[in-house]
Amino acid sequence: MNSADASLVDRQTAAVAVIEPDKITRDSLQFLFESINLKVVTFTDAEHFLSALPGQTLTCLISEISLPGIDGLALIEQLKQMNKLLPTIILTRQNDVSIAVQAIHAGAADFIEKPFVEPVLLNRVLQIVSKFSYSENTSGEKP
Amino acid sequence: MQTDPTVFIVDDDEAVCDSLSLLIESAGYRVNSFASAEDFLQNYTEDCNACLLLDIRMPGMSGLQLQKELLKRNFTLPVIFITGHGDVPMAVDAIKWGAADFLLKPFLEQDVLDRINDALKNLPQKFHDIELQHEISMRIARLTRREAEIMIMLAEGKANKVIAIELDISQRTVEVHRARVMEKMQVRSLAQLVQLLMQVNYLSPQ
Repeated sequence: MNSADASLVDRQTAAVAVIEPDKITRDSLQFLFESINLKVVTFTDAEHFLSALPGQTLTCLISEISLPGIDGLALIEQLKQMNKLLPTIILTRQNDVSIAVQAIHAGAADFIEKPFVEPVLLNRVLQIVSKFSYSENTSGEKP
Repeated sequence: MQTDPTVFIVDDDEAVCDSLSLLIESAGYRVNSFASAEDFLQNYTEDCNACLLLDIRMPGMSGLQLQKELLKRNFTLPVIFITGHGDVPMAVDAIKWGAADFLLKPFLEQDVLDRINDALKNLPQKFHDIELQHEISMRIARLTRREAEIMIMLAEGKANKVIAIELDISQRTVEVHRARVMEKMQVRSLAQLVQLLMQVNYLSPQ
């Protein structure tokens, strides 16, 4: 692999998961991330995401908090218990300071309010993708 | 014997300082209040049994600036922000930079005491876990593939000589890679390296 192309390669191999109950928002997020060459898998709720998780190599998760069933905060806790280091951006219509504090304390990488500004979200996702792509790509080398 | 914990207050509003002081003293803490961030910085000496209640909007240095200044000086004082003008992005930023809590005015008295109690219980306040993990992952990302490979072998306890044989390279080359790994991971000992890797689950527990 040519290291000069690293950022390009990383982006093409990086996959993000989106958990978003609202179809219009979900579709627009998928479109947004695909427009910068990220692979995208979308889910309507945390349960579906969790059952699909074993087969996925993901770099980043973008999740709403208000979900049917397991909510976004409980999901972060669950991923932690599973020892799954998956940087999670909370993207939510719950724009409440105490919930934001709770989310970051729980381990969310970021907390972005809806309606969101596309470049801000993309920027945060790309930061995470560039930080984590190496360890994802080489996960097979871990003992 | 441990003395009562100290709660530092930094708020330019004298009335808020006074009422917070009264409340917190009545709960059995020692209180030391300051009218500005600058004033606090000048007088603060490291206290490992304390926390800081910090306003955000103040003339001169803001509360968020003071928080970063404390980090820069390696003070591990837990910070609880109390502000009348906070919003979500501000709270997110503060917590990501390691704040223990972020409270909006007006607040319930019991709430403040609970947060102080929590902050003191979690001493010493660590820089927020996920940020630390990001930082470590960033360092790992700077390694070349070969360096990462050697790092894992080092963490497994393999000697330079063993690594050289297994990878079929010279011992001198292993030494060079090893030095680069330690430099890029910003650690001085193998123990520190293993500790870092455990924090991001890069090493599976044996």
